[in-house]
Amino acid sequence: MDEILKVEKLKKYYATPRGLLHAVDNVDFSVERGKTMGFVGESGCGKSTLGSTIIGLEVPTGGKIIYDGRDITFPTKKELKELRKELQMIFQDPFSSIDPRMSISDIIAEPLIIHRMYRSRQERTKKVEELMDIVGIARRYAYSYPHELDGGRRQRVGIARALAVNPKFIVCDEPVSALDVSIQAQVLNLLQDLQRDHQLTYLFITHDLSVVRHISDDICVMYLGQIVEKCSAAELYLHTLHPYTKALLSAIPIPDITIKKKRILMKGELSSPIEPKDQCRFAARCPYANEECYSSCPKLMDVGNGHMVACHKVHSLEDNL
Amino acid sequence: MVEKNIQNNETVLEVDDLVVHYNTEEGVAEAVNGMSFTLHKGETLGLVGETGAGKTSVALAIMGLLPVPPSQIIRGSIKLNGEELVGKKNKEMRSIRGDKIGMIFQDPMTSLNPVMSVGDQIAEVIRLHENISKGEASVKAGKMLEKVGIAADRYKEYPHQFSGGMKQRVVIAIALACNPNILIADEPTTALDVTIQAQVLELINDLKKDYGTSVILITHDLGVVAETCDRCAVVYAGEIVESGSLEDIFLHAQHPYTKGLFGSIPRLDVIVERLHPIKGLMSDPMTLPEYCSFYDRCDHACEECKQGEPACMEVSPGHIVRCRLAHPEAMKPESWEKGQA
Amino acid sequence: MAKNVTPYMQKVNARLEKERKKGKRSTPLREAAKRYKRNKIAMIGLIVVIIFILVAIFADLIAPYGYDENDYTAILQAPSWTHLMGTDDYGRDIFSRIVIASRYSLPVGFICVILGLLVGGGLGLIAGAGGERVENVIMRIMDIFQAVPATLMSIAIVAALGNTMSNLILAILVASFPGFARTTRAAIFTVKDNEYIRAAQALGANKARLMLRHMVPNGMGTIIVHATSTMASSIMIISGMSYLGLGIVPPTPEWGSILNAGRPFMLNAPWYTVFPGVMILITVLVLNMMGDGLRDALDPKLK
Repeated sequence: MDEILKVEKLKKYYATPRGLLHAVDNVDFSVERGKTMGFVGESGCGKSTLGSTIIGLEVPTGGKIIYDGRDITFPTKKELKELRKELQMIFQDPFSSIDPRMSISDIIAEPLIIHRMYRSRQERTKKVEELMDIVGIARRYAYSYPHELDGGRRQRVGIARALAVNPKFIVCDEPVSALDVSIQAQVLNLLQDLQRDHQLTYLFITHDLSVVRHISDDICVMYLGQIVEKCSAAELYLHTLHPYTKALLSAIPIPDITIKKKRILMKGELSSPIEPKDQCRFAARCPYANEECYSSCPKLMDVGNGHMVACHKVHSLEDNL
Repeated sequence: MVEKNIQNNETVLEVDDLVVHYNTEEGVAEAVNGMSFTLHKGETLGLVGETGAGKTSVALAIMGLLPVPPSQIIRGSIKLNGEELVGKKNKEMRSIRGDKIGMIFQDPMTSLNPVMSVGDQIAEVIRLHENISKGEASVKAGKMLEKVGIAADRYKEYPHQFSGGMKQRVVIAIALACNPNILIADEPTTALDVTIQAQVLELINDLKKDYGTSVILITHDLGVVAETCDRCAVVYAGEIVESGSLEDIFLHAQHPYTKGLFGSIPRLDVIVERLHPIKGLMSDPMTLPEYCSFYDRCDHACEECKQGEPACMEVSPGHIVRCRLAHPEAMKPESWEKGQA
Repeated sequence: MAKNVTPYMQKVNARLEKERKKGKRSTPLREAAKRYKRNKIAMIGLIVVIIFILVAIFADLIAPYGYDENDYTAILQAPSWTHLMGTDDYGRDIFSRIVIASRYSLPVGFICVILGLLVGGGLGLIAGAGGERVENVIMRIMDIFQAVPATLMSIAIVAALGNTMSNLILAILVASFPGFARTTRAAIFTVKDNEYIRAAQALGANKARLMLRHMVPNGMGTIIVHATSTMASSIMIISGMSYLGLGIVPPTPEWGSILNAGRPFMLNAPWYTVFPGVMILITVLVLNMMGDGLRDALDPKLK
C-alpha cells in the first residue's frame, strides 16, 4: 500500500471559557496515493478543523502527521512554504474564499507569484490560461472580478488556484455544499476528472453522505472530534455498524418514492466536546447505550475487511442487522 | 391554467398567472413569470428549484412581504379561500399574516428577536391576532412550546440559549400559534444538520396532521419532497415547468429540467460512476429569452423550441408539463426518443 | 413575454445598453463609482469640494484685492458690488481674505489627514493583523492619547511648542492619528476572518502579502470614509485654534481668525463674522456629505 498521508493520534484542542474543547481527539487514519478519503459528520464534529490542521493552517496539540514519509506535524516556516506546493486546499464558500478586489487572473496567479514559479509575465499568463481551460472557465473571464461570476464559476476559480502549484494532495472542505444541485454535479465531475488526470489524492470533507458516497474510496465518519467508523465507501453503506452512522444514513431523505424506509430519529442534539468524560461520546443519544458505554470510551477496532468501528456494542448489534 | 383535482378537495390557495419583476439598477429581473398553482386543504405542496428560480419571491408575494420597490407584481392573482390578496393594503395584509398564513424562514438564527424570551415571542403573535389577555396568551404560548417538543419551563429563555434545531422549533411554534390555514416553509431545514432536519420535518408533518394545515414547502432537495410532500411543482426561471403528484414527478418525469435534476444528485442507493449534470448555468432572470427559458441548457432543444413560449400540457390528469416536446404530436428530436426508451 | 417597463426602467435600460456598447469592464472600483454617481447628495458634496479646491488653486486670480490691502476709506462696509462680502475694520476686502484663506485651511487639513493616515493607519494595521500582545500595547497607547479631548490636546501642544505652522500640523496630527489607528484596526478585523485570507495563507502567502494585498484593499473603504470626516474635523480644529489665536497668525488670513477678528463688530457689521462662519460650515458639511456617499458607494452592504 502506497500511503501518501498518515495521521497518528492527532489532537487539536482549543481553550474556551468553559474548558478545553477537544475539536479533534486522537484521530488515526492514512490515505493511499491517488485515492479519495471522505470525512463526513455533522457541524461541529471537527472535520474542518482536521482538514486545516493537516494542511498546516492550525498547529496541532499533539500527534503526528506524516506526509510522503516526512514528519510534517510541526514544520518550520521554510518547510511549511515548501509543503504548500504539495498540499493544497479547496474551500467551502465560493463567495468568501476568493478576494473580491482581485481579478480572476490575479487570483489564479497568486500562488505562482508567492512561490516564484513561472517568473516572466508571459509564462504566468500562459499558465493561468491553461489552468482556466482545465477547470472550464472561459478565458474571457480572466479580467473579470468575482462579483460578476456565479457560485459554480467561483468555485472553479478556487480549484484552479489550488491546482496552480501542481499539488499532489488536496483537502476539499465542503467544496460543493454551497452550490445548487445541477452545478454541484458539474463540480463533482470536474474534481473526479482532475484526480484522474493529475493523480491527485483528496481528503474530502462534507456533511453530505450522498456526495461523500459518490466521490470517496474510503470514508471516515466523525462524531464530536473522533472517528467512529472507518471503512470503504461501499462497505459503509452495505454493512453500517455504528449506531450513529445508521441514524445518519436513515435521516437522509432519498429522492425516490418507491423506497419506504424506517427513519431512526435520534434524540437530542449535538453537544460540543468540551472536557469530555471518559465515555462513549455518542452514548447520550444512542438508543442502545448501556452502562458499559458510560464507563469507558470505545476504541476504533477492526471487525474484519478493514472495517473499523468504535462501539462497545458492535458485536451485539451486528446480529440485529 | 386550471388544475383538475382528482381528490376534489377544498381549495385553500389559488395562485393564477402571477408575474413579479424586480426593477433594479442593473435592469429588470423577471423573478416570477406567470406561475399558477393551487393548494388544497391539508396537503403539502413542494416547490422545488435552484437558487434564483423565484421560489422565495412567490412565497413573499403570497405573504404580501415583497419589498416595493424594487419589486412589483405585474399581474396575476392570489386567492386565499376565494379572497383576492393582490392589491390588498398593508394593514389588511397584516391581519392575514400570522393569522391565516404562517411562514418559516430558512435561517432560524436570524428570524428570532434576540432580546425577547422565546415564550414572549410566541405570545406576541397570539395577542396580535386574538383578543385575549396577556396571561391567557402566555398559557397558550406555553402549550405551543410543548407542541413543538420544547419543555414549557424554557418559556423565559432567550434564543441564544437554544441550539439551531431548537430555534427552528420555536419559529415553527410562532408560525403555527394562530392555527393558520396555510404554512409556508421556505427552506426550513437547509441550515440544519441531517439528523436535526429529520426531526424538524417529522415535526412539521405531525403538526400538519393535527391542525389540518396546508403547507407550501420550498426546497432545493428532492429527497425532502419525496418524504414530506403530496404534490410537487418544479420551478425553473420563474415558471413552473412541471407539476403533479409525487408519482408523476418521481416516476414519470417529462420535462428535461426535472430529469436533469434527478441525474445531478448523487444517490445513496444507486451507484453511478459519473453524475449527469445539466449543462450550463441557471438562466439569468435579467435576460430571459422570448422562447423556452430552458432552451440553452436543454439536451433536446431544437429549432421549433425557439418559436415562442412553450404551452402547458396536461399529459395525465393533474400532471402538467411546460415543454413543447411533451405534446404527443410534437416533432421530436432523436435525443428525446432515445431518452424515452 | 410582454414586459411592463416603467419610464424609470427605460432610462436604466438605455444606460445599460450604452455601457454594454462601450464594453466597459466592471471592476469593484467602477461599481463603487457608479453607485456614488447615483447618490445626488454625495455628488453635490463632491462638486462643491472640487469648486473649493479650484478656488484655492486659483485664489490669486479670483480675489479682487490683496489679502492685506488696506483701504481706510472703506472701513466696515456692508456687502456691495465692489466688496462682495463687505470689508473689515482695516478696510480689507473680506471676500478676498476668505478666498485666499482657503489656501491655508484646505491644504493643512489635507496634510494632517495624509500624515494621520500613514501613522495611525500603519499602527492600526499592525495592531489588527499582528498578535494579541502587539495589539494590546498599541491600542492602550492610543487610549492614552484619546483620553485627552482632541482640541485640548492641540491647544496644549501649540501653546507649549510655539505658534508655527508645523507645530499646528503636529498638534492636529496628534489629535487625529489615534482615530485612524482605531478605524484601521476595526476595518482589518472585519476582513481578517474572511475565508480568502485563510485561502491566501494556505497558498503560502506571508504576513506582509496578507496585509498589503488582501487586508488593506478590502478594508480601504472604511478607512477612506474616516479620512474624509477627519479632514472635516481637522479644518474645524484649525479654525478653532485660529479663532483662539493659536493657529495661523494674522495678517495671514484664516477663516477662524477672521471670525475672531470680527467678534467685536458682530452687531454693527455682521457680514464680518457671518461669511467666514458660513465657509467653515459649508466645508465641513460638504466633506461629510462626500464621506457618507463614499461609505454607501464603497460598502453597499453597510447601508
